[in-house]
Amino acid sequence: MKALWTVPEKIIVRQFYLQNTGLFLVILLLGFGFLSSNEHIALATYALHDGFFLAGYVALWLLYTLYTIRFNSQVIQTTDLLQFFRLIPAAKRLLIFYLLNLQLLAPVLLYAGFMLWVGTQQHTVSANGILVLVIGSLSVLPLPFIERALQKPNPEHVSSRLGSWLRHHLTTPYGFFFIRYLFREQPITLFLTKTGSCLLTIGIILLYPTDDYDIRLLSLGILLSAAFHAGVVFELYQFEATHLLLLRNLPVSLFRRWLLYGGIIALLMSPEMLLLLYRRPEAVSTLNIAGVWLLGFSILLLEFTALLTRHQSRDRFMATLFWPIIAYFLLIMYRLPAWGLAFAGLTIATMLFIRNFYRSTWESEEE
Amino acid sequence: MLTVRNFRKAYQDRLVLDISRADFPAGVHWIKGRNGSGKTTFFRSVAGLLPFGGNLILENRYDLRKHPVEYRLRVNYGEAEPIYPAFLTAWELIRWVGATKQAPLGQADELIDRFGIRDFMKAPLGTYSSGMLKKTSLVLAFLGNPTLILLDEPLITLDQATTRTVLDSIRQSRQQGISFLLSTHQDVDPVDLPIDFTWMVGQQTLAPFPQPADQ
Repeated sequence: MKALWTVPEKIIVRQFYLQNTGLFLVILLLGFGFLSSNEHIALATYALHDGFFLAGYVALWLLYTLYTIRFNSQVIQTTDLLQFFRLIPAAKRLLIFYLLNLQLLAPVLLYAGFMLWVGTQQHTVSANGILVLVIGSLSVLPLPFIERALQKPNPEHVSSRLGSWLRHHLTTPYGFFFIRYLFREQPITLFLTKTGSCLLTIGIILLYPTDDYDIRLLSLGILLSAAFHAGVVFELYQFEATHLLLLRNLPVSLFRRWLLYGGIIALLMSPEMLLLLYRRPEAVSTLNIAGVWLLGFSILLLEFTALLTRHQSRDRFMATLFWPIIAYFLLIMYRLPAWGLAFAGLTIATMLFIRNFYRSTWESEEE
Repeated sequence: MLTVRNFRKAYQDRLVLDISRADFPAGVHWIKGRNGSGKTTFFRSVAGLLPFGGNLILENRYDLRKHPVEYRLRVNYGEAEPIYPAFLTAWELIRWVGATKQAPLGQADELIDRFGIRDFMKAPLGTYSSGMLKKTSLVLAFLGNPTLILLDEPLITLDQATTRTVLDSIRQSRQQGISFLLSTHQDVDPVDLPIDFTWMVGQQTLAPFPQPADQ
């Protein structure tokens, strides 16, 4: 059994969590960055007593399950090695995939387990029953899809007429390569990052006029937005190192490369810029708003140049951001102006880029 | 043509290559070595893809460190197993690389036809076979006006006709003054491809190999 287990576990489960680290990071930031444990218990209690609210939870879990099914099916259909599973008796095969799938559903199972714990404390028998039924159903839901994927490997992809027309008539400028990559390969990470960051920006803008706040509130908001983007910045670093190796062979000056990275990051941060400009609190000048946005922009560039300075795995990179974020928090609270922090950040990022771009490398051994 | 001085490359403190001195005259150079000996690392370093210690100087004028743009304008690289973004098309890559390498007008079209990629060049790269990817990488490697082209295993995954095209292209380019560093585990008939110099990568260094025909 172990021999049959190791390969799919590495190919499916580990890859799923590795490829979606950014997504889970954003979920953790959204779910546990703002809400305390008491608030989670309050939300779970409300859901256990309100069918409509509980249905919202179930809908989210179903979405996540469908996402795992999509990943699972794609991997099975495109990894020829997994076709060996067709030689294994059906019952054994289903058991293996059922257990593998439980690992993919771990976040849902853990949260549902937490809700069941709350429900047991509060004796919500019918809601508990529904939870068990839902989790049971979600755990077996992927099996027919997995079987179908095994029976139909390497499907032929038919591109849409529009896609085909666009490919024949338009070409993507380099500055948009990464944006296209995000939309195509990391849509959930992109969606959650941008949704979280934009909701935060809107929230801060709405909060601003309700009390005697100053520009520091907006600066703290953009600092948190920049922290949300860390996963996407890592994606940029990884994308160029693993898919666009030839980029470093191209005769492009450091200055132009710097401008291109600045352009890509400005594009990523453009929704926040539009929100800040068009929903700007009346008491804050456009110049100050521009300084706040530039602060966020400079932090993203610093995150990117930190990766060029020293290669780090995604987990380590996320962990090393903690203290710099705390340092920024203190600098903002000590009333250092956003413009000043932005220029200091841009200067340091530029120096790091000039010094380290050609010295940097994705640490994987080659022949 | 290419001067190597005090070249050192290590991965996480593990020394892979240490070449104190090597001079590559103009011509076609065959770099031999076992799997894992450091050929690809050397190629990638010469192409400017990897950081390293020491100096690489092209035509006694362009130091990779001091003249990063001029050097890269004259050194092209074709990877052994190219990996490109699956959503892009070969045409998009060729236009982008051609523009940065200052490819002459019409060169891209000529290479596209020479390597036979016109039929599929506007399909996403993710749909390509390994041979189609290899052909795309060869088109990219010949773009512009290079002095030196590095071809890492240029013949693998190619059909017989394209193999012939690659050998012909190398021979013609050599006559036009372009030099090559090649690595291949396949035997090449000297009639098809005259090799001017042979080198051996092994024991963490690179050394001239006097009798290529004996290997």
